Amino acid sequence: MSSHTLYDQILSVAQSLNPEASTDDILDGLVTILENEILPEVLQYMELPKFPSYSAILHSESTGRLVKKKFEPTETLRKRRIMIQRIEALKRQLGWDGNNEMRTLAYFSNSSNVAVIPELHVSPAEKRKHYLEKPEMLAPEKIDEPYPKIIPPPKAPYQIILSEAFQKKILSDSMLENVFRDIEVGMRQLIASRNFETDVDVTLQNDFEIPSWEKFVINIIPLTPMSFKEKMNVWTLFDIAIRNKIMDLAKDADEKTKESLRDLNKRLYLHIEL
Amino acid sequence: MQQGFDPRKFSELAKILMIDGKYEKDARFRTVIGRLYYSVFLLAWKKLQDTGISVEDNEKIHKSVIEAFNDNRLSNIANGLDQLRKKRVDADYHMLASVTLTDCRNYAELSEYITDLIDQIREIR
Repeated sequence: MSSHTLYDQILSVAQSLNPEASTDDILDGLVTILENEILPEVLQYMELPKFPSYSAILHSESTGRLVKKKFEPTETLRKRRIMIQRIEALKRQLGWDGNNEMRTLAYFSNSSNVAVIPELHVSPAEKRKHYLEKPEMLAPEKIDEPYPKIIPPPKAPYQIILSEAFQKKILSDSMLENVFRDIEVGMRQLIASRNFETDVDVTLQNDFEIPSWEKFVINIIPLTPMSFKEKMNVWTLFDIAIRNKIMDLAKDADEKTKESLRDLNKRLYLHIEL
Repeated sequence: MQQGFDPRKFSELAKILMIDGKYEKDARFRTVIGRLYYSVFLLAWKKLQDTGISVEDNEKIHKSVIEAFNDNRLSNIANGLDQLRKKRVDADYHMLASVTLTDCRNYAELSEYITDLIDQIREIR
């Protein structure tokens, strides 16, 4: 017994209704109906599978080599992403607004028990028109850039960086904090007024051979090539600016503060990267 | 401190040693940095003595000398001595620290600069 497929049955019905049409004509007609009437509906209401996240791809990349069978291969995930995006683009052309709630299509009206498709806002003619139009070029997928590029803020011409030990020190010593604030202002003024391109590191160091000798070290790091003489000039200018700040603060200070400032001045050293 | 020995000879030796290929370079460069520091340090100490600034001759002599310059408004010398000292500590104790020929040249230039500053001192207030 020969089995008739749905295709055979449709072809048979179409031939009986169009006895003068050849088989090719009927097939062309069926393809046209499929493309213009059926496929747009199918595509529009197709429920898409879960869109693989980039983390899934990264996870697949990192684990795939070790556990090949357990995780979907990275390449498959990438292809699936591309396919889903393409189908979504077609669905949008057919009037899909991206809301998956629209997929509840069939319902039974109160008047009859016939399943009906709710009327769409876009007319079938309009849908066909959109569908037959050449699809817009899809935006190239940026698979290798999982996150938007972060544009770093423009680099400051210089940085003054306080070491962790120094930060802890000034947090526990309000006098030192106030003095260093003035020193920092002095350094910034100097850098700005002379257009120096230098970074400055401020650290607290204990001498290796005399551990009880605690020093405040301000390390000047020129960012542009300088001759030795230029470096010595920069070094001297920083030293004068900083020591003058300390002397200014000592002018109107009480005896205890003066002593503290003198001690600070003794333990303060400026280095320059040679 | 031996008054008869001229500390500048350490500096002269350092400059010869710096380019003397007869010796293994890493040991040579580390020795150069050490001699450069001691040349300047001993000159600085002598200058303090010559100008009437007394410093205690004990285990903290290096601290006393360097701080004496900071305390007497000669911080440019103190800064230079301390930077040389830091490099000398690296050269003598920290075997992973890099000490190159470029370092030797830079620090030789620095030691000359500080020596000149010391030589210019006539009195210390």
